[in-house]
Amino acid sequence: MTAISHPIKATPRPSLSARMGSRVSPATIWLVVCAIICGWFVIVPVGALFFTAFTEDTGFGPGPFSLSNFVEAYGHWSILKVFGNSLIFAGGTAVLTFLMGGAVAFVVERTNAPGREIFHSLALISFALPGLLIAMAWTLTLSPNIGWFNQLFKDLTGSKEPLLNIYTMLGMIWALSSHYFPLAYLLLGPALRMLDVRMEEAATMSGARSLQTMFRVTLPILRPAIFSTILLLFVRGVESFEVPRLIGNPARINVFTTEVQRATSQSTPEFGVASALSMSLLGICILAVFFYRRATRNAEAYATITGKGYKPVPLELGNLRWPVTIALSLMFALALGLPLLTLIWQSFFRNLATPFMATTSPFTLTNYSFVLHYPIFVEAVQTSVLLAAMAATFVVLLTFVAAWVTQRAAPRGGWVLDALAFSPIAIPSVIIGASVLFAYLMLPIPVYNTIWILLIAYVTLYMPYGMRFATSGITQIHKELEEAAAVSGAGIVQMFIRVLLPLLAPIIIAAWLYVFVLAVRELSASVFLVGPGTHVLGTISLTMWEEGGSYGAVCALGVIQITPLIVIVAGLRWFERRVSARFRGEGTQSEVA
Amino acid sequence: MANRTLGILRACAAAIACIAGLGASALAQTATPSWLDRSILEEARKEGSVTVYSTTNEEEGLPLWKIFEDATGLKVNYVRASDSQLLARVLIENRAGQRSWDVMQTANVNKIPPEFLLQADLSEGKALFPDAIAADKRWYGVYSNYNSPAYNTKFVKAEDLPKTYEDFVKHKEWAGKVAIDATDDAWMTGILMHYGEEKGAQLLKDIIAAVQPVTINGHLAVARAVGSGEYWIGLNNYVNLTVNVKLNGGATDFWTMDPVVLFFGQVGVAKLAPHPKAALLAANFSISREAQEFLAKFGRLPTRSDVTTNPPDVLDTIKTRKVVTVLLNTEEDRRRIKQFNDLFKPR
Repeated sequence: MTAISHPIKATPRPSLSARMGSRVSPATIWLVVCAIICGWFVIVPVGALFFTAFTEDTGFGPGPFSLSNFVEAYGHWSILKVFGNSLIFAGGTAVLTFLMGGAVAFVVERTNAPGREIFHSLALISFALPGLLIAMAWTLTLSPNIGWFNQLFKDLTGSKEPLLNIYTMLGMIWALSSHYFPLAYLLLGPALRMLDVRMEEAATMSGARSLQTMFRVTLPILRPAIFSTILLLFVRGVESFEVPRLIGNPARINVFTTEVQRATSQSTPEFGVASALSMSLLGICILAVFFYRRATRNAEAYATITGKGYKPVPLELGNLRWPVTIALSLMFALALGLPLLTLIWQSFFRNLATPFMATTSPFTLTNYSFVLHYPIFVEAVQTSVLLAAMAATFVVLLTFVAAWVTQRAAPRGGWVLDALAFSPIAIPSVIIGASVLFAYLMLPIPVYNTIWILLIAYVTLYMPYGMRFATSGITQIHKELEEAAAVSGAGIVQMFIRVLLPLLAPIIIAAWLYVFVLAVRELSASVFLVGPGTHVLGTISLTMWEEGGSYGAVCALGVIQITPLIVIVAGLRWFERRVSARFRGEGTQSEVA
Repeated sequence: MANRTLGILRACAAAIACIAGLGASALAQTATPSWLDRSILEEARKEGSVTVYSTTNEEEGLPLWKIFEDATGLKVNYVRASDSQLLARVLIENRAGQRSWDVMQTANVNKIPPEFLLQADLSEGKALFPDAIAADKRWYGVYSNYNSPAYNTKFVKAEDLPKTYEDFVKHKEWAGKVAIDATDDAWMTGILMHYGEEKGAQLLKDIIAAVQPVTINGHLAVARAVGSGEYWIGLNNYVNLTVNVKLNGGATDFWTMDPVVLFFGQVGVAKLAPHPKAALLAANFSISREAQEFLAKFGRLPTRSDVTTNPPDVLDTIKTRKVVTVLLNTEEDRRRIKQFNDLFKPR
């Protein structure tokens, strides 16, 4: 007998890449790639913020390490009042804006009230108006001395006192809310649209009344979208610039940005102090993101779009259809109609004119002629539209991928990416502009005095908004849909395109539109970065406001800016409806099959 | 005979050609603008372009610099922003070692660190007011910003206007109806220079306590606000802006008291200008009669006596007053800004 030998073959040692691959998941790779890209855009202004805040501001540039900027910024008791005013202003704006935008979102997306399409378009028109013009329009409307509404009231009633005064904290909150409520609508609308009504039906069948269902089923499901919205609105309120400038200053209501404005608009700007002040805002934003993620950590609980299929069904209002429509129409008439009427009417007069009342100033088209013949106006329009489209596209692509990574692929480490992408919101635009300028003068990347340096600044500015839209949208979608796609053999890219993209289409379009509208009227960062041949609409508006042009000319510029935006908004709305209808149709067919 | 005739004709033709050549040369010399230094024009043309940083709006600035382009064949790259933004931009570029700008035309060129600016002897400088040239010739005045209060002619009668700054204290009925630009530290400095530091500071405190002025961002915004009646009095403003709003139908006018504070819109050449010869030509053009006559059409007040103002009588009352010229360097400016904020925007 001989033993049969079976030599043991040595197991080949895995290659280095295979060994690395087994330790490094695709999710981690995505996380790192997104973090690098976001970090590249963020590290410049955040780094500049820290650098200028902690170094002595000599007026020629930063000096040695110093805390003098913090002493200057915070070394007086009135800073507490400033913070108090800022919290009241931002909190009041967040609440009022949320209520207004939420009402519009609910009626448009969940009910059968007539006129829903018109409300959607009107919300976007309001949003397209530059903040400077909205604030100016409200002063021309509700100023106690020259506001036409108060003039009419005094003439009709014989009163010597005005009925309303825009130069109050309530006036400031109203002026900002009337401008920002479309943001709440854009964030909440898609979330409401994607809500599966069967959960509410199940609650009703279990005996819950309407209000009970609302508070115990609907609102909890919408918690991520609600928190995203309130978070964004609150931060927008804290960093708002135009309303405090035009209304807060004369009202002697100093808020956070008043102090930043004070530091940066001196004839020798104090960027060190402005940066020190901005550190507080950065802290608020990081805290806000932290609490947001804690509150929404069980993301699956909020997902309403599942593998079982869903079909949004409008709520039947019955006899309340027309009263609801009328109430919403009144809200739009007040929030949008009054300032728009003021702007349009004033644009036909050089000096102050009360709508529909006789005036010594003649009706004229010279304001429009002035704007349209303003040197570089056409060039500025082209540059602004192109930049805005590029910025919106890049921001949406980047943030939706990043949001997917933070919510799905790497939820444990994802909060870092979330905070990173959101942090630029804490930095005043003027500091972002100055820091981008400095960085790209130092780096051997030849973008200075080109459109590309503006694009870099715009992406940095608007990444936070894209992130909030994206996070809100992805949280609504249950991951079982992606798991089903993976099990069926789809790769990540295929899953994105064929599963997520159709479901996210409405919110992607909303995000793109929001960033586009913001970017087309961007001002504060652009003033540092425009060069010969790269003028933008924002800087022309500011030039007219500061250096030339009557009230009428500034209003005419506003009207001219709104008109093409309305066309673009209408076009995108048509596209959005087609996309939504197409994918709903495919879903129905697959159900039947 | 025929040869002699031909010779005479040839001589006449040569003489005519000579005379025509001399005439053309004389014409060319008279057509050359006084600011155009031909000795550096060729080198400037090789540089090709010049970059101008300016606070003047494009409606005025671009046609102005078109005149320069047409005369020299040089392309002008025009960048417009506010004083503070352009100064910040210049400082940032300098820290990065970037040489981007050739000529700066703002009201705060004197606040740029001296080492950034070229000491230049501009030929057109001889025609400027003496005050309108820096002692070290690092900047020259392009237009004059005279500072004086303004009022709304519908709500305030001319006979009720204060005759002196001290009289402001008596007008407590104007409390809340008075506005001033949030960055008028130069005007404040002029008041303190005229009255003395202590007396001037106390006077300003008394005025502020009486009329409680509101600070607004932008001198044009102040002029518009007073013209519309939003505020009845502009405690201070640029005279040319008040006149501008008045000429456009605003119910406003200015009046003068001692002192009238003056500072200048200035032009300076970068020491490290990327186009040095073109920069010198551009700076000389800025202060020329031709350029200042162009700007005068928009109401800007000149820095030379051979340019007529628009309207012609706008400086008549100012000339009867004590004019205090204010020029602050960076350090002084920071101190005065803080002082202004403490007075007018107390925390």
